[in-house]
Amino acid sequence: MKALKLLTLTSRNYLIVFLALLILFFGVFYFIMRMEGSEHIDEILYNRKNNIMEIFRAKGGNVRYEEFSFSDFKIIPSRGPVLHDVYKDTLIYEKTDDEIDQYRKLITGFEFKGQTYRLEIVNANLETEEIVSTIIMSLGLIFLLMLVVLYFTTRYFSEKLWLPFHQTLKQLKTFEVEKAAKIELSESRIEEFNSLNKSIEELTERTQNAFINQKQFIENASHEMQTPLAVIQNQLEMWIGDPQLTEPQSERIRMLLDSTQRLSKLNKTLLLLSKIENQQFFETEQNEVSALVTKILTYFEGQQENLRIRVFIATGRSRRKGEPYFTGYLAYEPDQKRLPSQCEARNR
Amino acid sequence: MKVLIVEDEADLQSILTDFLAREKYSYDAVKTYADASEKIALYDYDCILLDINLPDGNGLRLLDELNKVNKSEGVIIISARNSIDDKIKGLNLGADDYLTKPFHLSELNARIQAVIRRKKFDSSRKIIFANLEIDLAQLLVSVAHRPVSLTKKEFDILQHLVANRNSVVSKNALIEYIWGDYVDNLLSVDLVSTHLKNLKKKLKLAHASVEIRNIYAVGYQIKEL
Repeated sequence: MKALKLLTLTSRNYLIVFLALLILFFGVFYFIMRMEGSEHIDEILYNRKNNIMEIFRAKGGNVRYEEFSFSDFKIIPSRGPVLHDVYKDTLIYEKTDDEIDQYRKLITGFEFKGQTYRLEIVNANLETEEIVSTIIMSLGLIFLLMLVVLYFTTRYFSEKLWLPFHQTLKQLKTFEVEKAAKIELSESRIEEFNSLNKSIEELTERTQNAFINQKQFIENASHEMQTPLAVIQNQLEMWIGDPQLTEPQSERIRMLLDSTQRLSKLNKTLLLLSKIENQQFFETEQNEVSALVTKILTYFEGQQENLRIRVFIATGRSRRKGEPYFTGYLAYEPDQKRLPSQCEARNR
Repeated sequence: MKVLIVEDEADLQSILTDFLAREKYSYDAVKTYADASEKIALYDYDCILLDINLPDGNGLRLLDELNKVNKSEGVIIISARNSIDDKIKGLNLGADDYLTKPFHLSELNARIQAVIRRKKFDSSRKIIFANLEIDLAQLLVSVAHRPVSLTKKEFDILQHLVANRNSVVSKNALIEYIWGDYVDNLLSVDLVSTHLKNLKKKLKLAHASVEIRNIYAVGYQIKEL
């Protein structure tokens, strides 16, 4: 998983939470607004229904549509039982502006002089729709603006806020325990960072001290061991020349000599290791591989002579990519025949 | 040939004196800087084995004193410190050689001989043993004036054994002398025996009147037949 910057993570999380809240808020808001709008229109429709029925009854069922101050209704004689009030949304095509508009429709029924009627009244939803969409649009715009401003200000302030932390981090990255230089962290206005810096300063100092002590200890210990080792080894070497020694005694001395030798090598390695780990060897040098191999090969002179073989080695650069390579093979000396052996190394 | 031992560690000093006695050197042994300074003023030595860490002063100062009285004796520093810096410092001050503890006695012997040879410029670049003649300058060996062809390692082994003909050279000491201390023991034991086998064969073929003896499993010694 790719690690994120603190700032990126917080701003991203904030953004996600904010957006989720915004969507939820607008959903709920829209729903409530719609409900309110519908209720309002339903009330108008209900009043109209009562109005229409009143007039209808007063005129004895013989009434013309023109006599009403509004015309968006139909009275249709019907059969069956009297219908109950049903409110629903509907779409009606409007010729004037070639659009389909949202309407609210009330379907109901009533009985008059033994005849059942079906009454349908519609009322345009336009006003509510418009109001709701205007509100949502303007609110959305405001929120978006707020979001942008909030995002950038948070980033800006966070950056400022975390500046001492990043400075400390930078210093820590360049800190080297083996160097004598102490870590110096700048004072911050924020208490937590100050106490963090103080702890880091103390910790690094302790580490440096421990490191120096440890280094000193290894060096001293391994130097102190040299002289007793010399005493043991040289005494044993004096003994092996003694003609009175029997074979078992010699064998024992050999064991002791070997162990002493191992110990002294271990000691040297330890010292060397402590120096390498302390990075006291700052200089690295280039070694020519062929020279090194040639030197190592002299260790095996005897074997080469006995087996009558010769080792041929070559170094160079590959023709295609110019990469350095090292290659070698064995040959039987009397007839210079190559033996089935090969080694090859390339620089990666 | 006279050797001065400046070593404060009593046990090591006593071993060194025993060893030098066996190798037929005459020697003086002191434990302190003051005693050493006095001995140097009074006598001439062919070789001085000098421990740097002395109870009453740094052995390097003794080198200064030697330079002042123009007695550039062959000084071999024997030190527990094996850092390059220390070595350079010692050698710059006029020491002939630098040996890090723990060292092999055969190695010490070879170095003492080398120092003494260097002091006597003349024909001492040649070692003669039985009917063997070893030319150290040209790296040549001849038996009864007839040259014997040896590899570099065989030459080194032979020369080292001859230099320590009075004592047994331990296997480890031989390995370290020939290959330095960077070769792993296990690998090189077999190496040394191969080289020795070849060397013995060559010497026998050339009718050398010497014999390289295996002293049990501990080491080797060259003997005149």
